[in-house]
Amino acid sequence: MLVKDLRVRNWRNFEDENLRVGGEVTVLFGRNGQGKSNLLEAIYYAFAFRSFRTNSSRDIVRWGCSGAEIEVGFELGGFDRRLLACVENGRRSTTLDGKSVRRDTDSLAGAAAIVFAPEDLRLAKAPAAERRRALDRAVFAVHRPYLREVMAFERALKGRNTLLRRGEATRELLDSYDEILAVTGSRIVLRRRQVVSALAPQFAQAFAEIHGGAAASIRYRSDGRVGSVEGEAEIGEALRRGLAESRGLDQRRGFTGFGPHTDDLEILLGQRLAREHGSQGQIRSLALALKFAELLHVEERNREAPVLLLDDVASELDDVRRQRLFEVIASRTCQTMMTVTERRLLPDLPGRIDWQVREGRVEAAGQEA
Amino acid sequence: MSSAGPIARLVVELAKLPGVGEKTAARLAFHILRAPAEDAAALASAITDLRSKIRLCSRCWNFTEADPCDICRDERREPGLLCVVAHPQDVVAIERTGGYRGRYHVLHGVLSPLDGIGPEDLRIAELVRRCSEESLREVIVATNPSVEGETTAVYLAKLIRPLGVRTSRIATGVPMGGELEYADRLTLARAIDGRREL
Ligand SMILES: Nc1ncnc2c1ncn2[C@@H]1O[C@H](COP(=O)(O)OP(=O)(O)OP(=O)(O)O)[C@@H](O)[C@H]1O
Ligand SMILES: [Mg+2]
Ligand SMILES: [Zn+2]
Repeated sequence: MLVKDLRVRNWRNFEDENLRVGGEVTVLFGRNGQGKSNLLEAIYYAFAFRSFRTNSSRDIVRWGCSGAEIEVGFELGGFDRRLLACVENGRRSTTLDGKSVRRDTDSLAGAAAIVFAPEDLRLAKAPAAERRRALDRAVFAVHRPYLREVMAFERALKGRNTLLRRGEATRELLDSYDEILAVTGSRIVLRRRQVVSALAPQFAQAFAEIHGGAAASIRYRSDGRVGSVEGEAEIGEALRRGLAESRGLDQRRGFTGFGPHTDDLEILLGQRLAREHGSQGQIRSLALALKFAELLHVEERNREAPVLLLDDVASELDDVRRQRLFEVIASRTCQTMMTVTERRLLPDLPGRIDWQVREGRVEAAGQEA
Repeated sequence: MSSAGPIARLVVELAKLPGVGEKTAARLAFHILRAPAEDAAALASAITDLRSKIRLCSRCWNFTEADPCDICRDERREPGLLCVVAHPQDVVAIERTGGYRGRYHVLHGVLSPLDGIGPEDLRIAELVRRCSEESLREVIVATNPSVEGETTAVYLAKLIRPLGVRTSRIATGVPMGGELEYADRLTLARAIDGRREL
């Protein structure tokens, strides 16, 4: 995929701005709080239908406005396409070449954006929920219907938790929710496991190259009752049984404490959990290795390069790791958009286009400040 | 402005309609004001009639003028077959396919704990009663493939199956979390034909 241009209207602090996106590297630079990350967020939003920074559509609409629009021109599978994502009074809609499309439309298969933001650098030490979210994003990048699957699970989970808190649900009603959770949950476990095993070898190799020392590995961890079985039907059955077993406890505590929403992506150094034993430097290298693995995986699976969005990552890395990051960017076919406050941190990447972002305006800039 | 009273009142009432915002409501209000008096009177009486003449069928809970409704009284309908839908407009959509020959049961919603809607808020007890009183052969659950629609379907099956009535689910081909495209008759007709046991 090749992103060619971006237009944002009433998006965050932008009134109406557009910019041409470079075929290889696009740099968005400017002082803090000017809107650089907001532009990367817009690109991500257009392709993923959700933000990587917020779940509320109120945050992304320009203050005082009722709606926002993002328009992206891009090339996919040899065709020029235009995607228009709108939020109006909290309602989202998307059109592709003027036709309204669903978020998991096949027409967008292969159109993926991968984000790397400063908070991702601490992923190995972050709460498990963030690792699950990162994993879910990695699945979504190669399998768009996954978004719907996850949302269905989350909605059923909220429903069950509401019933548990009210404490008046009949057995049949809770049984029905368990059934839906088992069906949607087994799909999620299966897809997460698949993506972890696809990422694992690339991840180990990337870490060895960036950092060396102890070998790094990843694995998907579920409750033992689920972790020990394979196959969608078997996982579903294990979830059904586990939910039934935990129902009594769940009713007392008022929430569902069993299921894929409590799983974790375990990141290990040697035999130890990086979460508990990793040094600052190791944690960063692990995060970088995981992103590289994801990038390779998405390229391979989609047979289309994703667009890589690097938010402020350059300034968060030391010289060696930053160097490694730029080597990888230069060696991949994928298009990169990055934000920086200090342009001097960036090497002269081929085909680089620079834009200055200042108080919600975007201006073309030469390569050197 | 005291003279704005009746206009403002109409605008407020119109704006309560789904899909109508303040602006549209104001435009409609001024349109009605400018239109011939008999048009406004016809609209007003149509709205009043709607509420005074339309009630719920005591068997299937669909909207009707006569109780029981035309479909419930239709002798040519297959007596053993019941299609459960969430809303009266779903009956209209399925009737339009022309392929379904049984009768209906309208729940008036789907289970949704998040919106505070439980079994007692829907016509579920009435459905269960029909299952034991009428000699039904099959109950087809045609709720949307949303999480709420699927959960409602599973729940109904749990209540109905023990009564010895076969329960099936329409095959939407749409993954869970989707919306049935009722606009497309062919899809809906196929969904009913391709139903599976719940
Ligand atoms: N909905 C909104 N409407 C208007 N302005 C907004 C909205 N949301 C955020 N902003 C503004 O956007 C600015 C932040 O933009 P952004 O996060 O893109 O900054 P940045 O250029 O990436 O800065 P940094 O270098 O600090 O990361 C803030 O000034 C904030 O007030
Ligand atoms: Mg930023
Ligand atoms: Zn009737």
